[in-house]
Amino acid sequence: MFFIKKLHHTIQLHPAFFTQNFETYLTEKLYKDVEGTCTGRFGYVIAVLDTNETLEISQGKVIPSVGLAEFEVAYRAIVFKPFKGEVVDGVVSQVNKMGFFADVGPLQIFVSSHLIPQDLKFDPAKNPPCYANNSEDSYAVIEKGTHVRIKIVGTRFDATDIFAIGTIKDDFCGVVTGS
Amino acid sequence: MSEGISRIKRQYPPEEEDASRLKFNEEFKNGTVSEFSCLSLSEVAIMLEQTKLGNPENHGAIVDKMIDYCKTYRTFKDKETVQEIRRTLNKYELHEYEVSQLINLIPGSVEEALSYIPSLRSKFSNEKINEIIEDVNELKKYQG
Repeated sequence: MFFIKKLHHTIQLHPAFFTQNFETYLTEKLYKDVEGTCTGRFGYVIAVLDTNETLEISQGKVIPSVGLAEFEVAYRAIVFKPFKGEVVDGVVSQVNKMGFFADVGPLQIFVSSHLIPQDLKFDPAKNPPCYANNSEDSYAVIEKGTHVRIKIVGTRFDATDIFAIGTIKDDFCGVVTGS
Repeated sequence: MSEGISRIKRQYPPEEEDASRLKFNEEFKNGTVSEFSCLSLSEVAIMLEQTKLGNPENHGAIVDKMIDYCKTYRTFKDKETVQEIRRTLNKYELHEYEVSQLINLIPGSVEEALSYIPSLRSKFSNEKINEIIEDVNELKKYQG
C-alpha cells in the first residue's frame, strides 16, 4: 500500500559546494540517496515529493576538523509497504514446483504450491512451465507473464529488504481475466 | 552499582500488523480520511508522471519497476475522476486504507469487497457496502 510519509535524512556537504545554490545540490543529493531505497520500517521509498523550494533544510552545522557541513533534511515521499492481509495485483515472473513468484513493482511475492488451489497442477513438461487446470477448459493457466491477484499472508522485513508470501486460494484471488 | 543500562530493542515489525483488521505499525497510524496520506495506485501513477518528467535518467531499477507497475494496474486514468471518487467515498466513514483498496481493486459485488477488505464487515451493513460499490463502479464506467 502506498503512503505519503514525512521522513528525515542527514546530508553532508563538501565546502566546495558552499555557494549560492547549495540547496539545489542538497536536493539532488537527497534524490540520489533516498529514492529507490528500501527499509524495513517504511518500505520502498519511491519518489520524493518536495522540490528545491519546498524542501525543509535545517541550519547547516560544520563538523569540526572535517570541514563538511551537515544538514538535516525533512521531506515528504511516496513509500510502498506491503501489509499482511492486503490484496494486490501482480505479474508472475517465475514458476517452479514449489510455487511461483509474482512481481508487485519492486517487491517479489512468493506463492507456495500449498496456497494454490488444488485443481491447478504444476506441469513441468510444458514450455514454459506453468500451473494449469487439467480439465478441458484450461482457461486458468499460471505462467510467466500472467496477471494474478494475491492476498499477502506474511511479510518479513530485513534492514534493507522486504520479503512477502501470499495466497491465491482465497475467493476472488487468482488469475485476472480481461484487460 | 547503578542498574544496568539496557538497549531499547526495536523489532521489525514492532507489533502484529494486519491490514485486514486495519492494524498498521507506528509509522502508518492515522485514522482520519482527511489526512490523505494513504494513496491508491491511480493517484501514485498520476503523481509519478508529474514529478518524474524532470529527471528520467536518474531513476534506479526500483523506481522504474514501480512506474511500470503503476501504469499497468492503475484503475483510473485521469485526475478529475480520482478526485471525484475521493469526494464520493468521503461521505462514508471509511479508513484511508479501505478507500485506497476500493479504488485499486474495484470489487464488483459485496462478497468480493468483503473478501478484499474484511474490516468493512463490522462497520457497515450489506446494503451500505453495496451502495459504496455501486458508486465506485459508476465512476469506473463513466471514465470508460
